[in-house]
Amino acid sequence: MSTFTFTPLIEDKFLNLQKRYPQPQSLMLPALWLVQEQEGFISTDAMEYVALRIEVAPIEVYRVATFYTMFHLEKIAPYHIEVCKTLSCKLCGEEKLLEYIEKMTAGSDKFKITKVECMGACGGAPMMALNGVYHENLTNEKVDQIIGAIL
Amino acid sequence: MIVKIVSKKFDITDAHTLQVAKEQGAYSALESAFSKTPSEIVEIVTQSGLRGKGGGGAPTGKKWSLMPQKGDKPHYLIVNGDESEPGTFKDRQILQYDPHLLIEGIIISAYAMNASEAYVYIRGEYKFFIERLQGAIDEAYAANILGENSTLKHKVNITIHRGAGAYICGEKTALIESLEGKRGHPRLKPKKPEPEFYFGNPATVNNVETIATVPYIVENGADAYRQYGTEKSPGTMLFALSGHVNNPGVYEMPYGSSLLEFINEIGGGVRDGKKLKAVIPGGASTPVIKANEDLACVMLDYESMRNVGSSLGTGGAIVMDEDTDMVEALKNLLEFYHHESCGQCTPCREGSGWVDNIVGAILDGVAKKEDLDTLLDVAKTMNGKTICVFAPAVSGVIEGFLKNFRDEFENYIETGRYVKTHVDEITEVACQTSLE
Amino acid sequence: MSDLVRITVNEKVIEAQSGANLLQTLLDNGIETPHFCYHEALGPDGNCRMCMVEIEGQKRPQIACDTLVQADMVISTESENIMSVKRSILELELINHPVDCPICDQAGECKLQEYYMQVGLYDSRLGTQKVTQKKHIDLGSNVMLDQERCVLCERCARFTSSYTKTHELGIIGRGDHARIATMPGKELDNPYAMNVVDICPVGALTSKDFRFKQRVWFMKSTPSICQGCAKGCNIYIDHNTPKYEKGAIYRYRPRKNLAVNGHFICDDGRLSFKEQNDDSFKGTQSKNLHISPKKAVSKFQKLIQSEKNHTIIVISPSLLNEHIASVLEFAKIIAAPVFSPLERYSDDQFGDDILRSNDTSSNRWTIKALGIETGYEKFIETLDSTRLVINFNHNLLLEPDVILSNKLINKINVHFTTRQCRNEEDSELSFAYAPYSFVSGSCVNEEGHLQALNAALTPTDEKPDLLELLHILSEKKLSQTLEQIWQREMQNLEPFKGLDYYKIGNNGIALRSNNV
Repeated sequence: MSTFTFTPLIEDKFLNLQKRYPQPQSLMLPALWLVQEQEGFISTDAMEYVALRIEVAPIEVYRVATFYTMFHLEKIAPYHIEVCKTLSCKLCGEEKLLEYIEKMTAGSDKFKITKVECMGACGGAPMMALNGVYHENLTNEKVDQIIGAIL
Repeated sequence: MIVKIVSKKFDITDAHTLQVAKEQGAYSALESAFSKTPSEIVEIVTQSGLRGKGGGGAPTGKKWSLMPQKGDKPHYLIVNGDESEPGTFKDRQILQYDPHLLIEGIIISAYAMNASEAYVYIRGEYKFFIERLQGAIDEAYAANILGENSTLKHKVNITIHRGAGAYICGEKTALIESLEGKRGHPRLKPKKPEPEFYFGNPATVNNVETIATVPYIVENGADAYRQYGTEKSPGTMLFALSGHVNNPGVYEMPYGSSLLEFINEIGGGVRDGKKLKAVIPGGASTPVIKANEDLACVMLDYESMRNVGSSLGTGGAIVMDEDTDMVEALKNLLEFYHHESCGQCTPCREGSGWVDNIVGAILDGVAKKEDLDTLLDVAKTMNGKTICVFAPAVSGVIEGFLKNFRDEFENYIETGRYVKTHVDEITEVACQTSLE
Repeated sequence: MSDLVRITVNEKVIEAQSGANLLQTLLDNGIETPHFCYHEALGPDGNCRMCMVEIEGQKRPQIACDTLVQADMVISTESENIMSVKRSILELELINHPVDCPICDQAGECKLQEYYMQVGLYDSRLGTQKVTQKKHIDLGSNVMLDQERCVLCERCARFTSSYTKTHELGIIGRGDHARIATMPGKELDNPYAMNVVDICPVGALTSKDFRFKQRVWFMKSTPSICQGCAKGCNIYIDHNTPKYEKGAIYRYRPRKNLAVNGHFICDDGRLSFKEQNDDSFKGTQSKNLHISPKKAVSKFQKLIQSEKNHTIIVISPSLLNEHIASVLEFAKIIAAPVFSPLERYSDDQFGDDILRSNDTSSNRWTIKALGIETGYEKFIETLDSTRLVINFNHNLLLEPDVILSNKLINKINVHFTTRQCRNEEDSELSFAYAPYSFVSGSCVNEEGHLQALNAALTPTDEKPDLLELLHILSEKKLSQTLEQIWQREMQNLEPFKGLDYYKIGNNGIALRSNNV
């Protein structure tokens, strides 16, 4: 039996969204996002809870949660840095930038660094997203500023 | 060369707010739209020759006319904002700078297809742009433009549906699967033309930019759109430029503009004064064009691109200079496809991994000559035997690289490293240009 | 009813239902068409791409499972082009497949092996690493999962979602790291779970019970009928009798019969082969001591003489038709009444709306159709005034409750059984006879469907066919063989008049009389 529930705030958001779809299954992605918003990751318990709310078998939630790359199934470090590695960014110096970021954050357990595929910021290459916020046209100096503020 | 139909308000401060947008003419097309019947609007859009701007280029009017005329099932408009094709970053411009234009387009398009519910599926990573659009939607609801209390002739609800990181969800049937709460697995294609189905109800999927173009067409007429572009590819598109170019960015131009001029004039030419080696013209899934007469003369329209063996795709051009290692470039793209394959059907799931590994082996200097034949053979198997066009795109990418840069691959196999080959300097030869 | 139309396949014209599934049509016509994800019971999925055929007028090859039959279609499954396509698809299926054949139970009945011999036969050109996944995962319910061997046809997941509706299995992950799994911490847990082992075309899902026990090419498959309940699911008995050794059954598999059980059987029925292999109970005994068959026979004949008019016969409602016919004839000869109480052959917890029946006997239909007394009270009434009780395998008398036990203590108990009776010391005589997997015979399921069993193992002197036993005990008055009993005794029974064992066939016969 799942022990997970939505907080009142999140429950409110869920109920508002529920009105907008003809069938509860459409709430799969929105519900998973709400779980991740609430807890920072999606546990098996949370998956069973979502399954109940949107009226599908728990395995279906598990299947969706493992299909999409943005869902974390485990807790991660507080600062998630996603560096785009796809062609335009690679052409504009992503590899050197990644090396620099890794050097800057080495030794700190505050960061999780992931290489991701095209983020749709090709015109501002190279780029990274810090907890979802895009930082484009990166230089070593800009990285110093952004990461320095956290360290 | 620049024409501002969809990007009209991009440079105006705060044009994403209702107040400023309205001052600049937002929602002015509604009057014209509601003075016509839905079928009349479909007819205008058809006459305008508007083609889908999500990569496929299929005629929009024809797609809309697949929606049933009669029937008691609710209709749905689904707007594809999953923009994940590498080199493409145009739809986000609309979401960021003129979200009310999109809302206006949605209202008119929904009216034309008798839909009252519209979902805008936006890729999960676009958090900022989702918030921008949501802000505009909230304003529209408050101003009784959208929703139950709308004072308009046709009431529409708009809901943003956030994706979660899957390129394949940009494929329209995979998008609907995702919207229905499932994995983004593309559906088997029907034998006869029919609309899409959302929980069994008729639905149409259109790209963000396509919908954002509708207000202009409806307000100004089909001919007003046709005055730009070419006969078969009329109108304008938000073309993107990235890679080794001085002025990367998004620029709205008529179809039929010269690719080379786009890169040299608007793009400011190749960075660091280097020579141009190759361009991927329309997003990663379009075959690469080598710097030769083809590249010098090719235009940014569907027909021209097809004639040189490539495709216009999403119009996102990636520029590569003379020092680019093309084998590494191909590896980079194949890794992308390897990560993004949904895994449903055999040729794509297994093939995209295998070709990635083969090119990896080539880069590592452990490949044999036969591996190039294997690579092309697997590419052939991935073409035309799968559920969706993902695998055929991979196939085209591989064939494009090998056709134009086979010598670099052979060099790697022989020497185990990149050997720079000669790059021709190309200038605008005597081609037809349409700068006007 | 849709029309019959003509289509041409590999230059031969065949008749097919318009609108029918093309792949099923090809398979029904014996045209070998490799496929993984399509299954007759689960429908098409269109993901394996293996069933591609060439259709005249279509630019690209089409998957047959997603194509409907249309009049005048011209199809090729053998052209050089389509063979090349099939070879390429198969090659891609095998790219990440571990070469586990030497240790994989599926070897010999594996679709990858089969199709490789049909359309493959190429040399591997893989020079890079294969994707690895988890192996030998115990999913529960006797099913082992090997994620590496899986071809992601999704049949098993579709089985648990559409057939059992228990939703244990699904494909997780993406791309070439996609794999079959259950919810973390959850097991495969439903009464039909082991069917996934059959429907898995490769060695990804295998039976833990059968694991490493026997190579399939050593086994013979004999068609028979499960005796676990009144559904009468059709099975294959897979067995092997090595030279000079005793035969053993290694597993049951479902046998397709669209009129009875479709493509599946329940796990209880599937595993019921084990008791058939039990050889501990055999021969003739008296009061728990072995006696010679000769002595047993003569003792028996003395008893039926001395206790004439004080004898009662009880038969199990799972007795085969032929055995019932013989016993009824025997009962006439010794003028004893015959009872078959329904007690012990009903289980309200067992039946479901898929296959399993609450009636756990396998031939009650015949008992009722022949008017044999099934009431418990009537049985007890008669029992009280008899002295000799002859039991043909009825559970009530093999394991009597306290009250019945106390009554039976004062009687002379003779048992004809396939398993040990609990109160062996109280049985005057007991004759072991061969259980159903050793004999050919027939039974009728709860829907009135007459079905044939075929002998897989061979009876011995110590465990003879009951027909043979009764033939001897009746001083050769009763029929000895299957043929004889159908020609004589069975013809006296209304439901079977005019029928013959050899006319029953693999799919059985629906009997017209509805005497239930």
